[in-house]
Amino acid sequence: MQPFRKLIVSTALLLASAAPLALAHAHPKQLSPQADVSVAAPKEVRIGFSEGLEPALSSIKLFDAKDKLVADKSAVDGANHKVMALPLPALTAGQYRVEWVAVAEDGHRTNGHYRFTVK
Amino acid sequence: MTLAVSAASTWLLDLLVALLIGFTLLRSAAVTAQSRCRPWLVLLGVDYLCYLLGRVAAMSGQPLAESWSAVGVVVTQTHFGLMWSIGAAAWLALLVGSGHGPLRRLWPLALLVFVYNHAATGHVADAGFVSVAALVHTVHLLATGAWAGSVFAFLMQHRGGSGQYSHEEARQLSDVAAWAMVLVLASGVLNAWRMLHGAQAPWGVAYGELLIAKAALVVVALTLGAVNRLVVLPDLLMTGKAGARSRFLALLYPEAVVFVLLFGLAALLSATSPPG
Repeated sequence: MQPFRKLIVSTALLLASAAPLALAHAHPKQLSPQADVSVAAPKEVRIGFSEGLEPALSSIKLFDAKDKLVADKSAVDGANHKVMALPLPALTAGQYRVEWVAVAEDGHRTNGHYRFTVK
Repeated sequence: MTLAVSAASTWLLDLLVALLIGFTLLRSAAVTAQSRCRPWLVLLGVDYLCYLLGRVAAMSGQPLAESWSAVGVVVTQTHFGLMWSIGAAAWLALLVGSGHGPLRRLWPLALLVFVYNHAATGHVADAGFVSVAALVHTVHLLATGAWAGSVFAFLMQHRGGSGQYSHEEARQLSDVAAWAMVLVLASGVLNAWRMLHGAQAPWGVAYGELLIAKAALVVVALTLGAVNRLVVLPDLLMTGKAGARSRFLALLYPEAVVFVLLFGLAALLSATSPPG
């Protein structure tokens, strides 16, 4: 009976191992500018993620308070695939919304948005 | 819709790969394995395309019907696309190798490449294509495929018959399944060690229930396999009675059904994000 019990325990471990496999989604770790802050006009939006990103499918877009697209030419850092940046034109005072899409190198897609205000 | 297609195509992919491994491992079946595999290979090819579409839709965030437009970008510009292309090349080699030409010898290598590639494309991708994690997961997929696939292949050869197979074939199936099971457990424990190390316990409602259902099914498969190996097989080998042969075969059917369900749950799990 002993080997059989070992087998059951090992099987339970094996099954448990399947669970964290799906955790490799890219989540934002550092935001610049940060969410919900008032800042002087930034030159770029820069987001550091928890995973490496697929440059072809990941993006950052910036919208103004009227939902007008302000900038969308974002790029993933060539040296560090966990970082993506969006160069910005000169921003006037007001509230802005950042929308990001992050496709991790294992193919998982996450997205989100946050706001900041230019003084 | 995308989730359903992804899960269904992964399910079929795992089932077909298991069947191909099973055909390859059972020596008696292997004599004719390659040509017998051809219809299944064609199905695998169609399924591999559906699998690509499902992944493209998930990666691009587009509805499935519109995801065609992103196929080019995904295949040529992403890590997953490169992996898929290598898998497609391996599939082509399998198809060519299923003929009677000299390329037959490529078959095991192509199968190995396909499985390794499939393993490295899944959730272990973050560990890197050439990594211990990818290797362990490959062993895991090969062993799972060998265990389930040998049962599938044996049933396909002998279905309907009440024991038109030799002692040797029964013993061989049992040996392959037993060794595969040991490898499944060994690679599973290694996987578990890597994954549980520092991971948060992602026990959500739906996810947890799927895992529990999977655990229950594994226990059923283990029990059926153990009864066959420890009780029926010795009887079959000692006495060679027709009754024992029928029982041996009869126990394989529910085991195969359990494997089909298990692959289904595994596919659902891979398409489900744990909460948190």
